[in-house]
Amino acid sequence: MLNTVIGLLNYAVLCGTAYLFATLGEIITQRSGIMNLGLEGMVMFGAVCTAIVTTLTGSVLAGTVAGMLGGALLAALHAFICIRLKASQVASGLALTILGLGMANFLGKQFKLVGNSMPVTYENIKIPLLGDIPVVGEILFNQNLLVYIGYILVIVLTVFLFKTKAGMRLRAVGENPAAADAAGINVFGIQYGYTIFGGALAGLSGVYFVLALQKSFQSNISGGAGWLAVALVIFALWRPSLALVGSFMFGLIVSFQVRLSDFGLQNIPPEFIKMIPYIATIVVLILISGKVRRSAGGPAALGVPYDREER
Amino acid sequence: MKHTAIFDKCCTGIKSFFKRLEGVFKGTHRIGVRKRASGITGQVVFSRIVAIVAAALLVGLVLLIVLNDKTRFGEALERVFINRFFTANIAMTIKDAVPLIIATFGIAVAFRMKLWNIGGNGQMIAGSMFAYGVWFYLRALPAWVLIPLMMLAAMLGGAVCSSIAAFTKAYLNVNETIVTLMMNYAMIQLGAFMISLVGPWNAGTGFNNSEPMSQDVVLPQIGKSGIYVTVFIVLVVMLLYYFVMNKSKWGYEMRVTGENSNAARYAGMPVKRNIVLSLLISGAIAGLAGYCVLAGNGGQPTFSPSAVGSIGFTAVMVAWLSRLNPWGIALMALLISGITNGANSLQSFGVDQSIAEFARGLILMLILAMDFLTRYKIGIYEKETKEGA
Repeated sequence: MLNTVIGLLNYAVLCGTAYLFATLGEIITQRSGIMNLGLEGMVMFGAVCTAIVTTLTGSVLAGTVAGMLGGALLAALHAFICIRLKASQVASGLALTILGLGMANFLGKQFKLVGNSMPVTYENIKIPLLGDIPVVGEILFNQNLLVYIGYILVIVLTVFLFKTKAGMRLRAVGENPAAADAAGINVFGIQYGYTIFGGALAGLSGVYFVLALQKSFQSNISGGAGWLAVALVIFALWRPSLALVGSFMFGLIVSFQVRLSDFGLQNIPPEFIKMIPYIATIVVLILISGKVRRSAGGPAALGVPYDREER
Repeated sequence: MKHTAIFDKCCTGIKSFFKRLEGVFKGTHRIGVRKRASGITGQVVFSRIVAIVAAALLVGLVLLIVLNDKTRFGEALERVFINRFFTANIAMTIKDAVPLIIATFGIAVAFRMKLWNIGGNGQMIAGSMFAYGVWFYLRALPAWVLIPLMMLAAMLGGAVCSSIAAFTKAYLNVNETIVTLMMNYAMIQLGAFMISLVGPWNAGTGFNNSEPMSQDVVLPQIGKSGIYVTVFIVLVVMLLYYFVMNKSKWGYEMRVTGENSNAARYAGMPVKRNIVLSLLISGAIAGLAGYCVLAGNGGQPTFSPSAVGSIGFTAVMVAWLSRLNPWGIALMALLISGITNGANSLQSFGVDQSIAEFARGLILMLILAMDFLTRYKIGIYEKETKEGA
């Protein structure tokens, strides 16, 4: 029984990391005041870019970079439309989702990538000392490289956001861009930069699906991961550390649904389990609305395009 | 004398333009954007046309790269942008546009109150699910009873789907964008369950299919035109929307609440009740669109959560881009449907049909980008020195 549970938790970490990168990216983006609902498009576009480049070059590194660039590219578009052209961020995000998904499906089918397994992938690496710790080691430290990068990224981003000056500038822009501007902070530059960074991380999620999780390219390989990431950001109260917890929880739900038969629960239709993350998010939103006040809310100026003239 | 006066003005204008242009190179002037007073309809139409042309160019570029047989390039381009509009194939365009138009009106109702309902997909699935359920369990009833019942059930289903967002937004100020979004996926799963091998509506063929409905509940075409009776539903929805939004007290309340909910509250308007009503009705109309997908589109009258596609998201875009104007909604929906449909048919040219999705995303993106032309004026302005606020 213990082995089954360990196996489940190990798989949960594996699945959960897929959501982690996109969530972290979106946390950073939203911290700068930009809401990016195009995550799903970026994840899928990143996935297809990775698939194309990895298949062509046979290099995992090239594929990873390609995926991140793909996500960053779409995010740059979003940033341009939202910041420079001051369009509605929700509308732009949705348009990007449609575009990104369309491009992913189109390129995937046109290049006959759908259903292909990738020539090279991220394999499991067991970390020497840490991996030998009885239960925890097997779950956390017997994973692929990207999972470890995920851990490091969470730590780096937490330190960055809350302990560095640059992180403070980022948070300032998201809370009150007018004040930040008056203090001499380059509001637009920050918003551009961090939105693109967020997109790159979303692309990394796409990379993860293709090269680490499924090890192939499928038509809907992300399974709504981009949308779940949007939900996870709220779930995580805009903090990277909680994003890790949230991602693993959602990963647990996904892995549980796959491993139902291990627990003798194969009679529960998988669709109901799949619904859980979405319903859970609604529940969390309801819970945090009433109880917790401003402190747990998002950046105050989230979603509002900053307009220099309107001061 | 009048003529000289106008001539003088023109000269001064041209002189000033060149002076400013010179200034750009000298560094005293910059090319920039200035906010317009308000978006004028002429500008809106112009920006849309620019966007379509840009889209045509981009899609053309993609086609050029992807087409196996380059000589058919012109034909392909024509197929996507002209064929579905200016020939008899417009019937196909109208047919496909119907669910999109209805869904967009649904989204627009919520939009009036500045509420973002992006759960259109889920509400459409719920609508078609409830409607199919009525047929499935009550099929013994005569068709003239079943059809209205199915429509009502569809509206109920859509409203039920949006009800969670409606109440949590009104009473707890929960972000309706996320809640409606989440319901999309919940509905997809619920629908998938209903037609899965263990679900109640599985047709028993070994696949995840449901039984097609009997022909008598399927809405027919008008004669042989290829346009379906559902067009009348569209007209009714359009009329109702126009009258309720622009001529009724409730429509007025909605607009005020959308602009400034505090003002509405002080004026004694029942803000919370209106939020709930607005989202419920929004969901109901989207549910009706789902019914049209199920029973009025000429396709297989089976229930399938994937039949809805991404109409819900496109509807949000169309609602936003058409500024909630009923004619704008209809026109833009027709445009997008036609182009998507045309792109779909490129399969015979060796291009995969998913180029349609790509084309649709591209067009929406471009229209959105060009929209800024309606809000800002590009010009050459004197550089200001930075002064205190």
